[in-house]
Amino acid sequence: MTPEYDQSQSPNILDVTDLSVGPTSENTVDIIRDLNFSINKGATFGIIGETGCGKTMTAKAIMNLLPLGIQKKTGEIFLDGIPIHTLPMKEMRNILGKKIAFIPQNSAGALNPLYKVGPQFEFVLKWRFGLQFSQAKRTAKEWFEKVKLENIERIYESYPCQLSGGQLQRITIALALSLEPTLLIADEPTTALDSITRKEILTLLTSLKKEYNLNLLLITHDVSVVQKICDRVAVMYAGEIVECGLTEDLLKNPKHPYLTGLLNALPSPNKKRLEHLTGSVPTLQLPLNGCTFFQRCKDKMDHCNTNPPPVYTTRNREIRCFLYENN
Amino acid sequence: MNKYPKTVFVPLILLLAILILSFLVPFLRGGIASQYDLHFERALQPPSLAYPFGTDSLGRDLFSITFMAAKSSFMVGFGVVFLAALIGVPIGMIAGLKGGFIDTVLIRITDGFLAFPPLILPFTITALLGPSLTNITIAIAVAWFPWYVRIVRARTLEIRSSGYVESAKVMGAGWTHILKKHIFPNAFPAVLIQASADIGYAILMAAGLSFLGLGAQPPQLEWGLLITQSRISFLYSWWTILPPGIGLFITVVICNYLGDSLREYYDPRI
Repeated sequence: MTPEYDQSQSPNILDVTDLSVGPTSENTVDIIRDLNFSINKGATFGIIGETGCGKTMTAKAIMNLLPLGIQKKTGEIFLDGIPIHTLPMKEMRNILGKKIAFIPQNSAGALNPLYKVGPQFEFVLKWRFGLQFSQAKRTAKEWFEKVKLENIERIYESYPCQLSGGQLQRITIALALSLEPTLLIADEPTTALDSITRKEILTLLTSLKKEYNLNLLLITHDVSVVQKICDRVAVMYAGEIVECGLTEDLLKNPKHPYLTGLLNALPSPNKKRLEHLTGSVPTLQLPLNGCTFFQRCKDKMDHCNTNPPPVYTTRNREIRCFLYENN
Repeated sequence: MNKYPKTVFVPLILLLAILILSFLVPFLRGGIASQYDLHFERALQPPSLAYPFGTDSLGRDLFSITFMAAKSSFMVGFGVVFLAALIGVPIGMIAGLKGGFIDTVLIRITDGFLAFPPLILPFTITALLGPSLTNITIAIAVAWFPWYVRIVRARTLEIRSSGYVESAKVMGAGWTHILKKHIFPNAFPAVLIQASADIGYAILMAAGLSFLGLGAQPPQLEWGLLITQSRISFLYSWWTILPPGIGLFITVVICNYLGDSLREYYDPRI
């Protein structure tokens, strides 16, 4: 599980180096700055952070589907050794849906409301594997079973509006898995669900992950989700990874002041008072000189406001903070 | 999607009935060709058993020719809507989908067509092409397609940012696939609603142009033209102007009703 940044041997499914994404106009701060991470084969990598810190943009940058007006400024992305950052959109289309699959956040909107769920699923299978009609139908129903849907016959002939959020999320998960992707990106797959359904979906994802040896990039803002399925996790704050390491180690022994504050703010039965992080995320309209977390940091030092901290690597851990300069 | 309510079927059936009657009535009353014959000996007869709607100043049976006139009015109505949608829908989809510069150019050009008062543009076009039913169909369609562009563009912008289009893109779908499978089917109801209501207005507009002598030419039969022809006589023989007027009224009301019930069916919120 030790991370190795050696592209020639390519032990990693995904390597992202120096990724910066920003608006096309020059004057604003980039949304994502100097992102570095990699995902080992068969591992689940989590990206955790609060709303607007650039988690979804990272996923979109990997898939080369950034919205209008936002572009990738620097960075290299290797998927299983293929430099996908160099591919033009035409060739990228062959990667998308074949090597990369995506589980969207809002599963209710992810299916076309005009087509029945089953035939829609069949269409994807026919397109991806060139299956015949009867074969596609059988495979689709098999997948419906694998994600533990009940009443398959009824669901198969239903329109998306007739199904519940949990059922739709299972279908989108099945759809993504049925593509047999090299890398599966799940963008907050449990956000739109209530806590019971969320637990079920997480259990399902965990078991499917084991069964199919998935390479999963999981984007979430829920620490409990990360705790459950991720092997490694990166904590993002205002467009940067502030801390990255093995999940268990990271959550037990947080080092960056942001992560420390974040974990302290979690409620637990034996806490009388909740601690909180003061302030809010900096707006990215003004240029940032020092550390992005400076305004809210409890352990800030004088030079934090003037110099952006580099990444310090200690045992299995990368931290973007001057506190760990000498370790 | 498969079960339309009665409110949609009733106006459709009524429209179809008028269309069938427009063939059937003259056929039963002495053949279609003979309706064009002039009989000055029976001119301006009031309604009677032999001539339920009376006869006009040229001695034609108003009952038959009013129904015959429905045919050309329908042709103009459907023709205008079909042509306008044919021009407007692709432009709207491209403008909405491509965005940016292409969008601006296409929308500014279509807005240019809207800058003319509603009758002036068809006037000019028919003046250029010459007065005839086909030409007013083209003229009204050219004046009206911007509405379809706007409707389709608005829907496209909405659908473009929807989850299922994003999912399709994530699976590597090209623009043609997204247009064909997602945007067109989802934008189509909006076009259908607008089109069904527009048929009535197109018939009205065509009748207006025919009334002014720009549309149908004698001996063609068209409601607007029939109204023009009865202009001189209706003051002392009231029955000459009523049948085409009522025909127009009923058709436009049915089309409006069809548009309303289609909208209610597809978009029940309001």
